[in-house]
Amino acid sequence: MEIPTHLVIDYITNRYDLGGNNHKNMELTTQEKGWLRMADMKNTLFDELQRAELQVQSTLEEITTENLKSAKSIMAGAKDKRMAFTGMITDKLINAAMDYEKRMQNVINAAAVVELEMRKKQEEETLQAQALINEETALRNHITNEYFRIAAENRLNYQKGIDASYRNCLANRVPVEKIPAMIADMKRILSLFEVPEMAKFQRTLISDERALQIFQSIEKYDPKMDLMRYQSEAEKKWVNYEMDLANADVAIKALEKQAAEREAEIAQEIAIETATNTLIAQAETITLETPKIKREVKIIVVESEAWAKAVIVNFIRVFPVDKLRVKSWSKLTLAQMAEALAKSGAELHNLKTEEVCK
Amino acid sequence: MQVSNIQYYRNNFEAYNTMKGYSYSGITKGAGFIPSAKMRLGTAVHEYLLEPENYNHENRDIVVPLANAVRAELGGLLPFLDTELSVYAEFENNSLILPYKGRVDMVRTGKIVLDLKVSQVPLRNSIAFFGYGNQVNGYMAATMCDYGMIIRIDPKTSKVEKKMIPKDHLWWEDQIQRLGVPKEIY
Repeated sequence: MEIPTHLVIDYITNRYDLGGNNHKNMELTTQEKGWLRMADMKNTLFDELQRAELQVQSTLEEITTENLKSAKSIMAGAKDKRMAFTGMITDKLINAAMDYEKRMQNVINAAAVVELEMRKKQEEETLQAQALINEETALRNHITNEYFRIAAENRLNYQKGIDASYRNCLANRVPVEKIPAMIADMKRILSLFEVPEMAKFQRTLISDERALQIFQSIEKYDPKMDLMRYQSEAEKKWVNYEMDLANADVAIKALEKQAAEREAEIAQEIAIETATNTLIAQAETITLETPKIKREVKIIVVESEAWAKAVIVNFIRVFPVDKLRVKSWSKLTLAQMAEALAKSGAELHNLKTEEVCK
Repeated sequence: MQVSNIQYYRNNFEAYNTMKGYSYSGITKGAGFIPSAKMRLGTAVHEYLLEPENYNHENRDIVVPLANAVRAELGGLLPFLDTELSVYAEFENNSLILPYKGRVDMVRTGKIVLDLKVSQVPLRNSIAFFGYGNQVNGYMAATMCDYGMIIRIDPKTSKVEKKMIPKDHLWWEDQIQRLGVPKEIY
């Protein structure tokens, strides 16, 4: 059983009146009274709506054009009453309550823009720092590999010089007694050999000062030690000259073959060392963590017929019908098509896109 | 720590199995542990890449892409690496000797050890947790390498992660102290 609200109000009011001492404190405020009256209004409205419903049912017991017209009119009246009540709730209650959220949302949106800019800036700085680290690693790797190459090529040049001189002596049948002078000359020639130069590294980010620091931190190749070693090798080379001279042509062929094999070996050594050093350099490179920024591509909406047609044409072109999965074809909208196109990553015609960061 | 009596056994797993000596896993796990399914996947990738004659072609759809990703990382170096090299050596410290044995995935003796791990766990976590650094340092010492690297391949994403392992013999020196035999009676 439903008790009319005004009776409840009277009951409460009377009850507190009977209390005597706290009379003033116990009186309901205007707002409290208003809330209770609202409940009353709701009950009255629902009664009226129920009566309208019954009226429509009874009117349509006999279906005629007139009765149908009357039923529609009853329903319209009921709707007006309902909307007067719910409209009041929307205006005075829902909208007013939502205003707080709207104001909060505005503040949050403004802060989110600033925060996103901060993350973007941080990302840019991190990427720049990472690029610098990568370039420093590459420079270190370059210097290490270049020293190895220079050392290997330098040694090969000395060896080639000695071998060529030895073969020339054999080919020209230089007498054994002239060999000591030949060796002395060979040693002098070796000292005139130019050490291969280091290939230039294209720096774009590393400063001169930092490049020098890196250069100085890597153990350098010292060609002097190799010169001394090969000058000593030159002396040893001619130890068996007399025997080789006895069968010079065969010795020359054997020496040429040996030299070719040595060259191939050194080329391979350089390749292996370079690959190893590169692998080490990659593993040693520090990877900085960039802040997370979600990037989405969106199609820029243009409220025009041309834009709408462009979306449809692109949609048909990009998504073959047999490969499309759509829940409800009748509800497929242009906005959904545009969203799918933006996500597809396909090249779009007559549509402009923008990157949205979150 | 000094290292001596180094012996390499190429393509001879049986010789490795019968070798006397302490391996890293022997010290940490003890003998006779049963490999998990994940470890078997790791073994399959090892085999496909490093010992193709032993690979039984199970799980090809998973194994082949993982092996190819590792191959791509190594560039032209792979053909010049010793793979699955069994090594015996004697580690010595404070007049105690520890016979060591290990099986190195990939190595350029005298230069670099490359240890392959098939795992979803990032190396920054797994190295400390499983002591991979100590394992690789054993390989490095026994193959006279100054450089050690772990290459991890993620079985789900095929992403490769590489990390250098610093040369550090401290853990092995402790093991020598614990398990070593006096030099005089070795």
